[in-house]
Amino acid sequence: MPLHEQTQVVGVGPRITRERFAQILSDRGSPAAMEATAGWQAITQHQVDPLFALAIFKQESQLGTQGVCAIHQTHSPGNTRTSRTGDGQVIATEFGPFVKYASWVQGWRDLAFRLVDPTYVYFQEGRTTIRPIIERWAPAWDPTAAGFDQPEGYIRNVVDFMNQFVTDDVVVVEPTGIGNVPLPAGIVNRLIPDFNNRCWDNLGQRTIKGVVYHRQLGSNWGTDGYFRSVPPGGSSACPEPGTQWVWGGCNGLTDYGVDHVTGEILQWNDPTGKAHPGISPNRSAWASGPVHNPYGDGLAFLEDHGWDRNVVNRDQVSIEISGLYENSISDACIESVAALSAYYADQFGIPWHVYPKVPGKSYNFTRWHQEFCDGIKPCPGTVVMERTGDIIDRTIEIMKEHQT
Amino acid sequence: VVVATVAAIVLADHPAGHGVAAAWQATPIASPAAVGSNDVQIAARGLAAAQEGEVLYTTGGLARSLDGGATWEPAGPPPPPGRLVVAAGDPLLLLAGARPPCARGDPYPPLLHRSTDGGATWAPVAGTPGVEPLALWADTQLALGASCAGLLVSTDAGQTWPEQPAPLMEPGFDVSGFAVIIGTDPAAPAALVLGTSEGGTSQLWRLDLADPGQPAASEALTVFWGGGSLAGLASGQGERFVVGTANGVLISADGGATWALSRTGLEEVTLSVDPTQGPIPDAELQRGFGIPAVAIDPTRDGRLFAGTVDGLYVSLDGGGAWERVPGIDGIVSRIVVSPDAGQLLVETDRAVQTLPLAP
Repeated sequence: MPLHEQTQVVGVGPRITRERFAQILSDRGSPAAMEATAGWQAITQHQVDPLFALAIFKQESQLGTQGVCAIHQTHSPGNTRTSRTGDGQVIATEFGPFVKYASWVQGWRDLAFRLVDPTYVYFQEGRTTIRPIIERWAPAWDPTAAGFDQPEGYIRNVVDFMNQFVTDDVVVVEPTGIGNVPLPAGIVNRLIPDFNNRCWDNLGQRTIKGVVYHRQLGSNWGTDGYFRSVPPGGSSACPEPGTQWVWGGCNGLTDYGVDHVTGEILQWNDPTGKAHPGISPNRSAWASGPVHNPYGDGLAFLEDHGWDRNVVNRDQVSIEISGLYENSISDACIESVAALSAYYADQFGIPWHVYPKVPGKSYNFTRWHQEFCDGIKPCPGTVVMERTGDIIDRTIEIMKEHQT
Repeated sequence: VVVATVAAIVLADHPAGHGVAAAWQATPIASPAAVGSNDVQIAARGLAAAQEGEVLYTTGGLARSLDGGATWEPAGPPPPPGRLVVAAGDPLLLLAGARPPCARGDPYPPLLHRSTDGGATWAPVAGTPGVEPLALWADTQLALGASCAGLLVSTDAGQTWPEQPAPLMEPGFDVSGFAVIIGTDPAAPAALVLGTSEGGTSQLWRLDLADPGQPAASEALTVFWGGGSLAGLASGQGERFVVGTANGVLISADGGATWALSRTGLEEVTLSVDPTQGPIPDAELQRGFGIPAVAIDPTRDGRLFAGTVDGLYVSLDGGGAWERVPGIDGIVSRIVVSPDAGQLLVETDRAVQTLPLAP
C-alpha cells in the first residue's frame, strides 16, 4: 500500500535501510553523505522514520546542496531555527536566524528529537503522521516560504519522495508475550563475594530501567581478576581511594563482562539485587559514574528522575565489553550484548517494536557510559558506539522472536 | 601533641651471606609529634629532597622532619583528608586532597586544601572538588594533580586548576600511580605516571616537566595487568625505573626502553598466573597479592626495596632476587629513602618504622 499523508512516521521503525539511505545521499552529492550511517542511527534511535527525515531534507535544501543549509554549512537537514537537543548555535543569515550544528549527526538528531520531545509541540499535540507534522513544520504563514506552496506542496513532495524510495513498509506485529525473553544461555557465574569487592552501595531495591555499555580496555578474564583483587583481609582492608591503586576490588565493579571475540558472558554482580551466599542484596556497583556534564540519553534519564544520581548505578545494568576502544567486536559479542539488553528491556516491559525507546519517555533504554560523564570518560569508545546500531537491531530481533 | 614510639631497625649486611640484611637491631626512639601506629602516614617528598635534605611529614597529629626523619617537630592539626604533598624547595608549602571513587554515581568529592605555613593552617582551593595532589615545585610553581578526568596541571603552585586534564595520558586510563624521578636536574624535573583502565590494564608514561607550561609525555613505556607502584632514579648511568606489580617487579635500567620482570623471592606475595588468560587461583585471592610500594636506594647501586602485601623485601642485585626484611610486617604502603639521614622509612598498615641503611 502506498504511503500517504496520514502515514505514521513517529514511533515506528525505519522504512529505508541505512545502506539505501546512505546511497541516496551519496548519489545526489549531498555533503551529509559522509555521516549518513551515523545520521540514520541518530534518527532511528528516536523511533522516527529516516525516510521521512530524508524527505524533509530533500524538501528543505535538496539534501544540503541549496539554500541556507549549503550557503552557511549549517549541517541542518531540517533547517531548524531553534535547537531542542541543545546542540548547535543560532547564527544570523540573510534568511533570518538558523541553527548551525557541529556535525550532520547533531542536525539529524535534533530533527528527530524535536518530534518526540515530550516538552515540545509535536509530542504534546500528538502529531505523529505526515500531514499534522508538516502543517506545523512548514506553516503557510512562514514569511520565508513566500512563493512555496506550504504546507500542501510540502506534504505532497514528502509523500512522493517517500513512495519513491520506500524499501519496506512498517509491519508491526503487536507483542503478546512481554516477559518471555530469556536470559542468554551460558552466562558464567562469576559473582564476586563482598569479601573480594567493596565497590558498591546499597541504594535500595534495584529496578533496571536501562543498559549502559562500557569498554574494559583489557581482557574479560583480566577484568574478572581485577574486580576481585583486594588486600589481605579482604575488601574491608581496602585503602581510601586515590593514587595507591593496587587492587581493582577497591576501585570498581560492573554487572557483566562480555568478551569482544568469543561473546562469553561473565556475571560479576546481580542487577536484580538478589542476595547470594557471601553477597549482599541490592549491590549497586560503582560502574557508570561519575555524573559530570551528562548528555543525550544519560542527561534525559537523569532529568526524568529529578537528578537523583543514585539511578545511575542502581537502575541500570552495566555491561563491560573487553578489548581496547579501537578493537572491533565480533558478531558473537554483539549477540551476547543484544541478548542481555533484550532480556532487561523485556523485563522492563518494552515492546519490541518500540525498542530502544522507552515508552512514554524521550530517551532510549540503551546508553553509553560517556553519556553520564562527558569529558571524563570516552567509554565505550568509537567502535562500540558505531556498532550500537547493530546491537540494537539484533536486540529488536531477539525481543520480537520471544514477544510475538 | 601525642608522642608515640617509632621502632628503628638497623639494616646491615649479612656477614657471611649474600649481602642481604640479616643482623637486626631494634632501637626505639621517641618522635615528639608522631601519633600512634595505624594513624601515621609519611607524605611524599618534594622532588628536590635528595639535593636539599629530607623533608618529611607525618599525618595524624601533623609532624615535620627536616632531617630525613632523624628529628621531628609538631607542625599542626591533622591535615585535610587524602594525600599530602610537600613542595620541593619550600618545606612549608603543602597540598592535601582526595579523589573519590570515580565510577560512583554521586561521590561528593572534597575540595583540595593548601597550606603555606607547614600545615598550621589550611585554606580550601575553590573549584577543585576531587583533586588529589601528586607533586609540587615551589620554584617553578608547577603542581600536578589527579581527578576523575585525568592528570591536571597547575602553573601557580596549586592555587588554581583547570577542569580538563592535560592531554598527556591515553583516554580511558585513570591516574593510578605517580612518582617523581629522583636525581634529575632540578631545572628539568621528570616523573612517572601510571594509568589504569576500567578493566585493570595499566600503562606507564614518563613526564618531562622541564617546561612547566607544557609538560610532555612519552609514549607508553610498558603495559601490564593490575595496579602498581613506581620509583625512578636518574644518575650518570641513565634512568632506572622500578614498577611493583601483581606479578612481580618490573625493572628497566635504560629509561623504559626494555623491561625485565623479577619475581624470585616474591612468590608468596605475587601472582603465579597471568590473570588476563584465566581465573586467579582462589588461594592467591584469599592470601592477597601486590606490591603497593617500591624504592630505589640512591646510596647503593643495585639495592631496591619492595613493599608488599606482607612485609618489606630487599634486592641487592638490581632485582634479580629478593629477600624479606625481618621485623616489618603487614601491608607496606610507602617507602622513603633518606640518603642524608642514612635511613629508610617504611609505612605499613600497622606502624611507621625507620631502618638505618648500611653503607
